[in-house]
Amino acid sequence: MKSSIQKILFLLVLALCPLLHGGEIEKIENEYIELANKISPAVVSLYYDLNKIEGKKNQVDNSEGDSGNKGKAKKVKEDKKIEKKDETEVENRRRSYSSYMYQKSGVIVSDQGHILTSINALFKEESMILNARLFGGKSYKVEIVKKYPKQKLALLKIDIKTPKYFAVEKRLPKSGSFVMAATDEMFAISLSKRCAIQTGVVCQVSSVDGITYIETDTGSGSSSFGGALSNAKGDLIGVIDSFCSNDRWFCTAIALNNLPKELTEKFGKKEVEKTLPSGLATLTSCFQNAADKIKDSVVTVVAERKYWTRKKFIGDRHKQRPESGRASGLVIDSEGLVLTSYNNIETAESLDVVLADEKKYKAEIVGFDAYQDVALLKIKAEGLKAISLSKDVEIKTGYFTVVVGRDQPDKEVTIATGIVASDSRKSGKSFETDAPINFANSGGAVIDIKGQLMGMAAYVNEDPSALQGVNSGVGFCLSVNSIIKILPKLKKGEKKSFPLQAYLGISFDGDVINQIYKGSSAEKYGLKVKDKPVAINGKKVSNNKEFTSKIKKTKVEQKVKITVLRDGEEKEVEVVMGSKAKRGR
Amino acid sequence: MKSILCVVCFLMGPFFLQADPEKIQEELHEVVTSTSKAFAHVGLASGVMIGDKHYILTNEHVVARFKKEAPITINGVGRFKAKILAIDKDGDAALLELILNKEVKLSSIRLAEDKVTPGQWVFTLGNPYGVATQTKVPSVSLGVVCSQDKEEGVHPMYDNGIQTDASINPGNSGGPVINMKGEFVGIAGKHRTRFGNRCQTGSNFAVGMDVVLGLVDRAKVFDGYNVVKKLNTSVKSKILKVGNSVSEFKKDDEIVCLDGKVFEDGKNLLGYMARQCLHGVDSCTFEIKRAGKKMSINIKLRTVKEIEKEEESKGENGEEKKVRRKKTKKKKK
Repeated sequence: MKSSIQKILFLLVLALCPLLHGGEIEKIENEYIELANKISPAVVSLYYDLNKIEGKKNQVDNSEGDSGNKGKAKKVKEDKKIEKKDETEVENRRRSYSSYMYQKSGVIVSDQGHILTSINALFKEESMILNARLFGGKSYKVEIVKKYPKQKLALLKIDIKTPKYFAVEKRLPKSGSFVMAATDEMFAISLSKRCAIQTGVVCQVSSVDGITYIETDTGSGSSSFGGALSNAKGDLIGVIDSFCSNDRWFCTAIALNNLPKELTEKFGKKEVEKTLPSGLATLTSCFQNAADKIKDSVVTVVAERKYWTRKKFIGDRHKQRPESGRASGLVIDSEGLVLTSYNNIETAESLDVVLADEKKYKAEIVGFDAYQDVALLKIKAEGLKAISLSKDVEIKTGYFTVVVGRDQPDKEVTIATGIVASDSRKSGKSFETDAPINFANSGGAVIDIKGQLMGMAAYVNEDPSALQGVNSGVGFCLSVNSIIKILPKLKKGEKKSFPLQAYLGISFDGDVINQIYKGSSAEKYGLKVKDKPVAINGKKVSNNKEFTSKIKKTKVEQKVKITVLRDGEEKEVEVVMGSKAKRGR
Repeated sequence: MKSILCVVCFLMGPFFLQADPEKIQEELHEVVTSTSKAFAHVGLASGVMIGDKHYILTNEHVVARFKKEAPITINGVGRFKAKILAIDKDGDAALLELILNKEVKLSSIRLAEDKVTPGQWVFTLGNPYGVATQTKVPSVSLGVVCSQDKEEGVHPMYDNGIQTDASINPGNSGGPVINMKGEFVGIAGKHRTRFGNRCQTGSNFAVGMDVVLGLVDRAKVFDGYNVVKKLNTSVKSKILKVGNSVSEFKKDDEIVCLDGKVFEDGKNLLGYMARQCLHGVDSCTFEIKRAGKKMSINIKLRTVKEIEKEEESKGENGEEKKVRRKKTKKKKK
């Protein structure tokens, strides 16, 4: 008997041996796949039956009738034509998929078939028929049990027996912990019969109007609304609703910490898992520990802007950037030197720095370099915890990066993770990361998994016509070596800004002006929308290209006579050219 | 004693099993740097070298602007031109062949044989927004496979494509999506935008292996198949050399049409055959002119694997003979 147990144990150890020698990535990859397989069956696709809308009903009936008649006629004809009919059907379906307005996600939370979703995923009018498509492709009719506008949630129900469902985790996750979003993004459930997953980490947990939101650095499309945000154990920690994300535009979820009892009673009785998968646990704690080491040195830089600068990149194209902007900064000296990125302070009228302990200080600009997107501020404080700058940090392509920012002084730091996308960019002065970098964390610290500073997040572009956007996964960081090199210059008070170029402040639609920017000289001197420029200083121009090339050759504060065609009459407007920073690469 | 050792080993096992983040990033660094060597800049966009014949895979929309040849830059090797061998417009894939005047050492990337699973790690190599044009070293972005679609003909992005959250931006088009073994699993092609802005949503799409293999297979089967555009309106192309696997053709055959369709050049013709093959069509009919006479030829659309299997079953005897010969040679010595 003893010998048999020995043998079994020996065999077990032998079986474990190959695992010990396996690739590290493979192990953690398997944990990802297992987790994806575990949570996928409990995510549903919610869609409205558009054929049942009144008014459209007749059309649909007619078309069905037509196809029926055609079908009869086709029976006589050759097979090829039937194939063609299939093609048009496929084309119709493709079209219906392309108009992806009416399809969102939901999460099964009980063995009775209760589905939790975001209230924003549903139509306001309740006359339309809502359906749910489950893992495997089967469809069910959905009954709306109750809407909870205060919590921004809705409870639905489908008639199904013992489906797989999520256990609900009511405790809030820590910043930097692993999350997996499981949604019906891009019709995944209709097309591949299982949901799509996206992964990332928790950036920040914050609450607005009594609702707690979990902000993550995973992606999120419009059809992921109502989908599941799961933790590394496969428990539901939030219902995705990215309407709540204002500045950062990440996947944001409504936390389930503060729900009414009548809602929680409906949840299934499955308990949350107690143990984390080992690989994910170590990776997560590694990121969190690294961020914890330096988070006291990351501060908020508040910039007051009196006038409008450039258009905001995301959302409403014509919305202006808020007058006061919050970004991150780095304490590099215990006697009050704070490093931040130049674009944060470029047009600021006054600057404040808020430390990790919520103490607010007025800041003065010591020096800056616009080309390297770095600025040095000074605050009157002592005994600060400074981040250490070391040349020994290894920056190799593929190494993990953790971007730590602090845009809200009263809240925890924001954490976003990624890898080094390229070790040398911008003539070797910076490196690239695929972690999302935005207005909020620009100026913040980019650290490796040991908590050593690799660089400072920078080069966020605000210009809507600019190429690389916010959170695009193409982010640049000024490397620690460049910071060490440029610091003495900044301390001496070197101020290198972009050269100014002449700026009129209009944009064209064809040859006609379609927009006049606020505060520009075009507005000041009376150019109007729908004007068509025909001459500069008496010289005729035929199209907008010619006009812009001639306007570009003028100098700042030069007087220019522009002849425009307004309401069929030629009018001469004298303009003094304004100025704009000429951004170099 | 033995049993105690076993128990200790068994208990210690899970501790060894814990993933070490430092080792993970070291492995990542290795796989990224080794695959980056196979990266090719196609114009301002991306591409990757595969196989041993200097083939380059990229998107159709990347090469659409080039008529016959596309400019290629390979980091540390130089600038080249590549001939556009085959394109698949619906699948958004293109296969190019490097034109080499002198011998150069080029590295390439393996094509994956396993299918991708949701949750699996992948990374992309590319030139997003042209940021890699200066140093020629591609940018990497890491992500997971979000889903893979099975239903055909309806996906608004790519049929049978891969959805990933590794970021794909303008300029990444045509770049490879690579798994952690360093194998090619797809061509990065499109991304979902938000409100029309080029904001990353984390839903990015890559052309799947079915389409890629279709093109590569056609190019391999028609090895040496070369077509020349002619001015004569009725005859569009002409065969210059005949590959082994398509012995039905002869040199100087003039192709009139394929399945009743007239093709302007060879690249579309190969792409058409690849697509037919994907749809499960097993043969197609060429109309050709041989020495002035019109003929029609039926060609079986077989994949390289099928051909290899057939050849194996045919050539088993031959191999045995070879082995015997070697043995006899040894004996003689």
